[in-house]
Amino acid sequence: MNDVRLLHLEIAQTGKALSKAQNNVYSNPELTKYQSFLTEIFSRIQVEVQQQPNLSTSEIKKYKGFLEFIFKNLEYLEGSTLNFSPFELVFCLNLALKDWLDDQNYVIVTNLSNNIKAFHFDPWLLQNGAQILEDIVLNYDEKPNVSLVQVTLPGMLVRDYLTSIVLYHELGHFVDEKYKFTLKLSRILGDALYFEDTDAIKKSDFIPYFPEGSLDKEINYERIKDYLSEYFCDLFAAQYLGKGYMEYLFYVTEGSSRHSSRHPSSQLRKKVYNDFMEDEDNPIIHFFQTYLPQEINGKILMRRHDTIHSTDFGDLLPLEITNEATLHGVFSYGWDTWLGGWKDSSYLKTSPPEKVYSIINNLMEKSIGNYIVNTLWKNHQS
Amino acid sequence: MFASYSAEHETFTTFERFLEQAIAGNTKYVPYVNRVLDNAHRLCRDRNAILGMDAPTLSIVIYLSETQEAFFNNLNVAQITGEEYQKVLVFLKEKELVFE
Repeated sequence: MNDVRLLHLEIAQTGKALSKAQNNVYSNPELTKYQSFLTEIFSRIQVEVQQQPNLSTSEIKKYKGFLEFIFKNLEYLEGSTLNFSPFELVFCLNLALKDWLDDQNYVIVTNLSNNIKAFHFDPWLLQNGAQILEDIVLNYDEKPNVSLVQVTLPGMLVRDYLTSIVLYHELGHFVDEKYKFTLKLSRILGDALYFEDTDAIKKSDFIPYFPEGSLDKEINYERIKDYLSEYFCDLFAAQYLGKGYMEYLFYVTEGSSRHSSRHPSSQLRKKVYNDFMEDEDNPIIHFFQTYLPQEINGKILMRRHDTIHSTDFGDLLPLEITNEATLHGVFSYGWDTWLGGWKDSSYLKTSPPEKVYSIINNLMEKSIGNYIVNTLWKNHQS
Repeated sequence: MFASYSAEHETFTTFERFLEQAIAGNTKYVPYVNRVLDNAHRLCRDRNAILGMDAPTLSIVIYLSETQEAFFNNLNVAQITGEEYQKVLVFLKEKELVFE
C-alpha cells in the first residue's frame, strides 16, 4: 500500500517538473516535440495509475522506470533552453556527431553543473534508459522524434570556448558507447594478451592490464576497455581540435605519469595524441584504425579541422568561416592565439590576461555565430 | 534559431526580426539581411553595440564601414549621432540603402 502511495508521490513530483518545463523555450524545435512526447507519456501514466488502485510490485516498478525516464530527460532539457544552452558549441558538436553516425536523429542536450570540473557524457540513455524507452514504446505505441545525447559541462564555463572543447572528448564516449567499440576491442586485446600475442604486448605498453603491484596477473578486461575508451575519445577530439585540447588536459592532470583505475596516465595519453597529430606509428592508433571501419560505419580517425593562419583575432575581428573543417578549426586557432598569438597583436599584448581571455572567447563565439546565421540564410535562399 | 543572441537578450534584435521576416517570405528585408551578413565579419567587432542598433543606424554603420576604413578601425557609434547621423541618413535614403 505504501509503495502505491509513494508512486503517487513520484507522479506528483514529475507532474510539477513537467508543469514548470511548460514554459521552456528551445532553439531547436525538435526538443519542443520531445518534451511533448514526455508530457504525453506522463498523461497516460497518470490515467493508468488512477484506474488501478491495486498495483502489483512489477507494475509499480514499471511506472517508476517510466517516471525516471521522464525526470532524467527533463534534467538535460532544462539546461538546453534558449537562455542556458551553449548554442554555438552544441552546433559544432552536432556537426561532429553527423560525421560519425548513420542515424541523424540525435540531438545533443546539455546539463549545467556547479562543479567546475564537470565535463562528462551520461550514458544512461544508451544503457538503462534504452530498455525503459523500449518498454514505453511497447506500452504506449509512442516513439520520441529524436534521441538525446546527454552531456554535462560546468555552468560557469558555458561560454568558455577554450576549455569547453573537452566536450568533443565526451562526444567520443557517446560514439564509443553507442557502437560498443572499445568494449569489443577490449575482448580482442584481452584474449590476445592471454595468449601472449606479440602485437598485443606492444599495445600493452599503453595499457597496464592489471593493477600495479598486483600479484594476480589475470587479464583485467574492464581496465583494458576503460583505457582504450580514453585513448579513443582523446583521438576523437584530436580530429577536430589540434594541440590545445592536450595542452589543457596535460595542465589539468599535471602531466602525471600515474595511471588511475580508469584512466591511463596523462603522459601516455599525450604520447598517443601527439602520434596521431604527427602521423607517427602507434600500436593503439593502428589497433583502432584496423577495427573502426567494420565497427562504425566505415569510419576511421582522421583530421577533420583546418589549421587557420590569420591575424583576425589579433586585430579584434571574428574569423570568416566558409566550411565545417574551418569551423572546427576555430578552437585550435583560439588556443594558438591564447598560448602565443596574442604577443603579435598590438591590441592584445597591451591587455591583461583576463581581458585577452574575454576577447578570444568573444571572438570565437562571434565567428561561430556568424557562420551559423550565414549558413542558415544561404540554405534558406537556395 | 537565434539563440546565440537571444541568450543575452530577451527579445530579438532588429536584425533578427528582419531575418525572421525575410525567411518567412517578406522579400523587402532580403537586401538588408544580405548587407548585414556580407559585413558581419567587420560589424561584429562590437557585438553589443550592433545588437542595440535600430535598422537605420545599422544601415549607416554598414555604409560607413564599407566606405571609411578609419571609421571601421575605430568603430564608435557615438561618432555618428546627431548632425552627422541625419546627413548620412538622408544620403542613404536617397540611395534606398536604409531599412526601417
